[in-house]
Amino acid sequence: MTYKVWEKTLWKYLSPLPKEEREAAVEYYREIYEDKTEAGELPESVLAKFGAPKDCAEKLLVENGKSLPSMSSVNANSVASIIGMFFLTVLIVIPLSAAAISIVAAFASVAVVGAATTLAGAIFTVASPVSAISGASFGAILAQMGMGVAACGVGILLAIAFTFITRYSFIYLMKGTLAIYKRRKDA
Amino acid sequence: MDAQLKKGLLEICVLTAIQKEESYGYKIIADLAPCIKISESTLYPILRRLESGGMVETRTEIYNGRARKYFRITPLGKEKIAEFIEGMEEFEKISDFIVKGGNL
Repeated sequence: MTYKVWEKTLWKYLSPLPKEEREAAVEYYREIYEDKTEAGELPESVLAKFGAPKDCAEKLLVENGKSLPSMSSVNANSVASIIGMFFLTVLIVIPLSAAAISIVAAFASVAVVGAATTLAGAIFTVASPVSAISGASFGAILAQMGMGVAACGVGILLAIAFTFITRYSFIYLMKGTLAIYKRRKDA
Repeated sequence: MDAQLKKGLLEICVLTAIQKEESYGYKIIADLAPCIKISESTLYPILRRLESGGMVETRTEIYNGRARKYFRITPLGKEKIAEFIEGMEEFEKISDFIVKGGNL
């Protein structure tokens, strides 16, 4: 058992106590755990000396004139928490995630459009002199080539800018998701 | 040792451990170790009882980037120790009576 699991179990068993009392108890054990491990004691040894979280909780509850909660009430709290998480996920997390992914996809699309515009501009520029066959004036050919070059320029700018934006949006989206996942796991 | 007797003694031991200077959980247990073994789960309710009884005050300080709670004896706590010492004289007489099988 890790300390986090031990502490989480203690927290559950202390549920009959007011929140402040629970927090004070958990902080007390956390402080001693950190002092002992800092002094070189092995985490497993410290937890063995603490004893079972249920027994530690019982001593404190008896002092406060209370008794250990039944496992069903401890489990009921867990079930309520799971149901709450389910609705939170369905109503908030999934829509927000979909929105975030859509935004990143939109950025990526603009980058692709930029690449396509660059390609189109290049083709237009290269193919412009062919207009001379149909009798277009030199000025018209120059204008077409100019438009082609402009399209290339705009396309390159869009492609480069939105490739960076897409890349960093994706990176931060992933980092944010991992941070939230890790926080939920630790909780 | 009788559980009730030990319970009363432990409170006085804890007060004595913090009489000279304020202390914290880990140090209190370490300081008491040569005299009496006390577990973390036993110490905490004692500290809470002493605090709610006004015999101990607490403050929190940051140590190495984490919070540490210090316990300090109050005048009421010192009175409790003094009362215990006074009571020890009577206790010694009773103890003597018991040990000598009723013959003083």
